[in-house]
Amino acid sequence: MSGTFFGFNTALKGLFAQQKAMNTTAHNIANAGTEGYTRQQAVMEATPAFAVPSMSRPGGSGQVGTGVNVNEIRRIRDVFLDTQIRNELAGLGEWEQKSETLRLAETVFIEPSDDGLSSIFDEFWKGWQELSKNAENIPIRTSLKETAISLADAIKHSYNQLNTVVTDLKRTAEIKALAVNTLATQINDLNQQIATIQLSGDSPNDLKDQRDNLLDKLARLIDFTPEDTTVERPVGVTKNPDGTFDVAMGHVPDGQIRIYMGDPATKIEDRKEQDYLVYAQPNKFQTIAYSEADKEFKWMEDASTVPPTLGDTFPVFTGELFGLMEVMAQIEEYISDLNELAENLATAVNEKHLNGVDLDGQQGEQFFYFDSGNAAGTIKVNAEITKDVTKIAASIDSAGGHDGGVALEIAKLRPGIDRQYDQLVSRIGVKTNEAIKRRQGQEVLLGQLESRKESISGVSLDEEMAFMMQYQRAYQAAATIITTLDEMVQTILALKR
Amino acid sequence: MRVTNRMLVDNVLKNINSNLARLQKLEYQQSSGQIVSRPSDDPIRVTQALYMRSNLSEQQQHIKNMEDAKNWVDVSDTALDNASEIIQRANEIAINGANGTLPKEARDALADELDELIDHLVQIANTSHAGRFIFAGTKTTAVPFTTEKEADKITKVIYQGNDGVLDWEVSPDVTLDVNRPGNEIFDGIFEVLIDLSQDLRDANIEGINDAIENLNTELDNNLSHRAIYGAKYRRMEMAIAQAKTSENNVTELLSNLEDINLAEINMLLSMQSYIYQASLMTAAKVLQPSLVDFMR
Repeated sequence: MSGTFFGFNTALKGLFAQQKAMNTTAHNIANAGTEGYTRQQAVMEATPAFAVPSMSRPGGSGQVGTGVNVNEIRRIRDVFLDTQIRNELAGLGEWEQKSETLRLAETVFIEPSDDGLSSIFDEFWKGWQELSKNAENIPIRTSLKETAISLADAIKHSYNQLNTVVTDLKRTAEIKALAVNTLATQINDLNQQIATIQLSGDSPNDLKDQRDNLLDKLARLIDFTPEDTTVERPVGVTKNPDGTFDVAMGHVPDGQIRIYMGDPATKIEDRKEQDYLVYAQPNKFQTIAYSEADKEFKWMEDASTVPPTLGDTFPVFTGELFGLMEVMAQIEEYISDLNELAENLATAVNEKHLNGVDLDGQQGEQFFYFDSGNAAGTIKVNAEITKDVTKIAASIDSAGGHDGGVALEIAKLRPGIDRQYDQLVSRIGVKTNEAIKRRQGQEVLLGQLESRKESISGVSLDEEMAFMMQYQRAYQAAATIITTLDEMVQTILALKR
Repeated sequence: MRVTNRMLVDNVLKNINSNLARLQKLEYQQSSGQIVSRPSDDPIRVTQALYMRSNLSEQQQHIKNMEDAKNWVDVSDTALDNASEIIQRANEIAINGANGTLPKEARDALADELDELIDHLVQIANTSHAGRFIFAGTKTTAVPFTTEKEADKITKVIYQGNDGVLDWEVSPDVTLDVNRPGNEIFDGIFEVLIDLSQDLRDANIEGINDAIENLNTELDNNLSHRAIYGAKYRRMEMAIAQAKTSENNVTELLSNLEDINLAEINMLLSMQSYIYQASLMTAAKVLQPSLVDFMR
C-alpha cells in the first residue's frame, strides 16, 4: 500500500521531467540557427513501479507506477551520414581549391579578347609582313620593334603572374598545414573534455557537436579515418558464495575519437601510433608542415627547430591539401608550356634573323635574347635593335638590296607559333572547365547529403512548438495533480475537527 | 521526410543564388556582346575562335599586301606607258631624220628634242612610289639610273640597281614579284636613243635606219613588260575580290562563334530575371509562417 504522500512524489517527478524536456526544447529553439547544431531530445522513461511482488507484499491489487525520469538528453544524429558527408567534403575541398586557382591562372590568358596575348602576337606578325614589303622603311621598323618589345613584355608578364599564383599557393599550403594542426589540437582538447564528462555518465552533446564541426572542417582539408576509442572499466560485479566479489572488466566507449591517417583497410589492432594525427590521449597529437623542397606535406618531427624538422610524407589523397599540390603541379605545367612557347618563338625568329642582313649590309644578330629553360621569364628584344632599328636584318641580299625576304620568312612562322598558343589556351580552358564542373557536381552531391542530415538533425520550429505545448500541458496537469492531492490531504486533516 | 525550417532557408538561398548566378552570366554576355569571355566558358569554342581570329588576321594582311602590290604595279604600268610614248615619239623623230634631204639644222633640232626625251626617260626610269624607286630591283633606296654628260648632253646612262625581285606574300605560301629590274626595261632604250641622237647630229642615215628598227624591238620589249604588269594587276584584282569574299565568310563564322544573338539573349535574360523575381517572391512567402503565427 502506498503512503499518503506517495502521489506528491510521482507528480513532482512529472513536473521535473516536463521542465527538463521544456528546457531541452528551449535549447533547441535557441540553437535553431547555430551551425552544426544537432537537435536534442529528452528521453523519458517510467521509473520502476512500486512495489515488487513478494510473499510479504501488502494486500491490494496491482503495482503503482512511481512516475517518470529523464534518462538521457540524446543527440539525434546519423553517424553513417557523417562519414558520407566528410568524404564528399574532402572532394569538394579538393575541387574548390583547384577550380579557384585555375580560374585565377586562367585570367592570365583571357581569350578570345582584343587585348590578350593573341592580339599582341597578331600585331607582331603583321609587323613582319609590313616589313617584308618595306624592308628599308624606318617607321615600319620602329613600329615592329615596339610591338616586339610589347610581345616580350606580355610574355614575361604572363610568366610572372603564373609564378605569383604558385608563390601564393605555397603560402596557402603553409597556412592550410597550420589549419590542420590547429584543428588537431582543438579536437584533441575536446576529446579530453568529452571523455571526462562521458565517463562520469553524462553525454556532452554540445561538445560533441563542436567536435563534429571541427571534424567537418578537417574533412575539407584532408581525408582521414576516424576511430572511436574505448577504455577498460568495470562493467559488472558478482558476489561469490564465499562472500568475495568479482569485478568484470570491459571496454566501454569513452567518447573520444582518434584520427588515423594510414590505409583505412589496416585492422585497428595493426595500426601504428605514428600514423595517427590525433591519438586521443592527453597531448598525443602530431603536427604537419608543408615542405617547399619536396612539394608535399610532411609530418613535423620537431617544431622547435627553424625550419621545423620534417619526417615522412603526410598522406593525402583528396581534400584541399591534395588539391593544392595537384593544382600547383598544374600551374607549373602551364609555366613550362609558356616557356616552351617563348623558346620556340625566340629560337625560330633568331634562326631566320641571323641569316638576314640589316640596313647597313651587316649580318643579323639575335633578335630575341633569353635564358634557355626559362625563356618566358627572360625573353627580351636585343638591346642593339632597341637602340637602332636599322639593325633589324630584314633582307637576304647583302649587297644593299632591300628584298625583305627574311622578314617574310619570319612572318611565315606565324601558323606554327599561333597553333602552339591556341593549344596552351585550349588546355587551360579544358582544365579549368573540368575543375568547375567537378566542383559543381560535388556541391550538388553535398547539398543533397546535407539536406538529409538537416532533415534528421535539424531543428524544426513547428515541431518544437508542438513539443512545447505538449510539455506545457503535461506540466500544468502535473501541477494540478499536486493541487488535487493537497486538497485530498486537507480533507483528511479536516476529519479531526 | 522530416522538413525543418533551416532546410527551407537553405533551399531558398541556394535557388536564389543559382538563379542570380545565371542572371549574372546572361547579363555579362549581353553587356559584353560575347558568348564566351574566358577559355573555360567553352574551351572548344574558344580554340576555334582563336584559330579563326588568326586566320582572319592573316587574310586581312594578305588583302593589304595585295592592295599595296596593285598600287605598285599600277604606278609601274603608268611609268611604262609614258616610256612607250617616248619610244613612239623617238620613232617619229628617227623617221623624220632618216630623210636624206633634211638640212642639218632641222636634224640638229630633232637631236635636241631627242635629248630632252632622254632626260624625261631618265626621270621616268627613276620613278619612285612611297619613297622607293620602283625600277631599282631591290636597291630601292638609291637612284637607279645615273647619267654621264658631255656639254649638258647625256652620253651614257648607268644602271645602279640590281636584278633582285621584291616578293610579297599575297596568300599563304604564295608570293608575287611586284617589280621588274629596271635594266631589263630601260638599258636597251637608253642605248638606242643616245646612239640615235649622235647619228642625227652626224647625219648617219644608215645608223638612223638601224635605230628605227631597234626602236621597234624596244617598243615590243616595253609592251611585253607592260603585259606582265597588266597580268599581275588583273591577278591582284581577282584575288582581292576572292579574298574579300572569304574574309566575309570567316568574319561571319567568327561572329557565330563569339557573338551573342541579341534577340535570343534578351529573351533568355527577361525569362531569367522573371524566374529570379519569382524565387524571391516564393522565399518571402515560404519563410514567414510557422506554427508560432497560429498559436494564441
